[in-house]
Amino acid sequence: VTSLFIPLLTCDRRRTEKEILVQSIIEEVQGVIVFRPVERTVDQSNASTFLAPLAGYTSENHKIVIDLSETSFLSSAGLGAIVMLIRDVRSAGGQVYLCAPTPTVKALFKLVRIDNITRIFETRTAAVNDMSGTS
Amino acid sequence: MMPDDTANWMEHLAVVNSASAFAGNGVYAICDKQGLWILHGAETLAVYMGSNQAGRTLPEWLGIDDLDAYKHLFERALPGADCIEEALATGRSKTRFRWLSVRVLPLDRLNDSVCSCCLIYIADVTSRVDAIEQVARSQAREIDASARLQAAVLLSDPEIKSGSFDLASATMPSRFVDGDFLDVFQLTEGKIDLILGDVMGKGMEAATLGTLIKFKLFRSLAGLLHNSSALPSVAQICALLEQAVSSHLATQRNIVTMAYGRMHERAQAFEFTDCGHTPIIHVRGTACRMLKGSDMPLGFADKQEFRSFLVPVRPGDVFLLYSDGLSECVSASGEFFGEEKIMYISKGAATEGARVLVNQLVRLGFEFSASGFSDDVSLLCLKSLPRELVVLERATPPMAKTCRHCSVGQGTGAIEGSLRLAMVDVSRALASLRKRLAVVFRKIRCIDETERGLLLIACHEALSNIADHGITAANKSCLAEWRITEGLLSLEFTYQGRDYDWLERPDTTALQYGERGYGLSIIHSVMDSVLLCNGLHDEKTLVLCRRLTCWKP
Repeated sequence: VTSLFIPLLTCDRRRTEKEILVQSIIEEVQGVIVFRPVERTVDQSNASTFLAPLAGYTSENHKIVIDLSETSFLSSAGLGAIVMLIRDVRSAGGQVYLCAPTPTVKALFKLVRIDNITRIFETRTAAVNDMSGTS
Repeated sequence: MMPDDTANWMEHLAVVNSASAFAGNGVYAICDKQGLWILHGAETLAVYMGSNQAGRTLPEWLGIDDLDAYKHLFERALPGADCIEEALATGRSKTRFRWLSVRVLPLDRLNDSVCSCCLIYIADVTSRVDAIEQVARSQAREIDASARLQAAVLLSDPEIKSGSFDLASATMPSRFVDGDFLDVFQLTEGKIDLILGDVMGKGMEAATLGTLIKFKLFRSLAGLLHNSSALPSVAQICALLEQAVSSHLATQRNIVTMAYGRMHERAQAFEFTDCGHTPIIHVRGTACRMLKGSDMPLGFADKQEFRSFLVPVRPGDVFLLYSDGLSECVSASGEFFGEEKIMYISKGAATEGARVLVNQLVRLGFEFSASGFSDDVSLLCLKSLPRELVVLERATPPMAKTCRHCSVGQGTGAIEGSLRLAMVDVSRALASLRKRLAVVFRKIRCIDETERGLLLIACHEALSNIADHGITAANKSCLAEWRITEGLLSLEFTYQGRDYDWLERPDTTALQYGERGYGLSIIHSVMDSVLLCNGLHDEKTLVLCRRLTCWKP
């Protein structure tokens, strides 16, 4: 397992110290890029930046899993950002899966039928295994 | 010979200057230089003297009585024969008046106005006039009886007595009877249904159609109630009604608008569907707003989907249903009475009670209009009376301590609160709203954490939409009010600014890969009713309502 810990102190200057300790993480697991945003609330104020660490992965056919376990509130702006990322990665021949959404975020995904364009897994391991073909 | 028997009437003419003219039924005329005699047998019915009778008009000759009143009876006598002067004259016989039809055909004009020779035809049409009058009297009696019957069927007086509501209605057909209809009825305990409809057109035809609509409405209701244990929603009732009447309306090339409202006493909510009708006026304190739904009139399109909307009701709130005969009555200068005047008058009179408000609107509308109401005017007003309402928590900033005893869904109390949001910093306002509502929503025991989360997202999206599309006022503030009653969560966002397309429920799914457009879709999915109301002075209120599981329809 190769882990790439990338501190993202500039993502949100209003984070509390506790949050800064649990920074957004990009890891590479079994050839899959796993990204876990740490923003508990994603709304119009940070929708354009919370996926910024993945900007470098949209131009090639990367396999990406977004771990949403930390995100308890996702507004339509955040939803739009996720959908745009999925579109861009897919156009480049890659794939994006979502995993570990909180119950509310999961219900929101169901409302907008995001499962029509990507897959949602209960756990990060299940998502990575499925994407890497080891399941 | 009947006067309109044009093929034969020439045979009964006589040349006036040949001394005599024979008229049917024993009546004849003699005309010479001295004058004109109308006789029946040896009896002279009328004598008209003059030195230059030929230069007079026939009415001048004959001294006609009630010419205008009876002229319509002979309108079809000789269509297009403008050279023929026709008139009715009355002649008194020994026993009774006789009606004579006199026609004059100038034969030789000396100039444009003087005739030296003419043909006169006189017929005794007494029996025919009598018959026509009898028919007219009979028709008038029938119209009168029909009008009373129609009024009884179409315009039922509110008979429901309730300690919670004050009801009043008024109606004025522009003719004997017209197509407006209204009613108030109670299908189940704690709910009052109100309807006010308007059939396009006037007179008996409109009234008959109005009666049919009302009959079909109650028949549809009976069917729905028979087939379901739950009370149907107003939208369901309107949809079934439209199915029942659409063929009639298509045949008659007519449409019907109808406002259907239902007061839910326990949930303290007003539910409505407007079927293309004029907006319902809602007065609350010093605020007044229009409740306008999204539906087309009945008969306008095939198989419409009707939508019902909910607004929370507070003690003292007034709801006014009215027909466009009031808003569209015109002054001498051509100005419409208009919705704004109705709103101002309603706002001013709402504290006085339903009857005062209705009477004032009728009086001021009538005074405003140049020649009385030219269209039917109907009004139906319901006022929620102040009562012993147990407000379990009144949370105004700073938020009051949570009441440990509140139990929404079991008692009759309400949880309510408000928050004034400065929209200069939208992110901060959104965060404040989320923080406050998260605490409030925890008190709704009949929904789980996930649903609470979705409600929070919907409210966030509503305020975000207002910030993006609605607010224009310099102070950029928005008042958020919430209220939880038995079975209903309502949120109202009041601001000054623009209207926007709040009704649009884009079929936004992730399949379209859109970056935006999910907000409205989320709001409409999570909430049972989303309504943007226009008030006075650009005031807008976005009303979101969600039925709770303890809701009993």
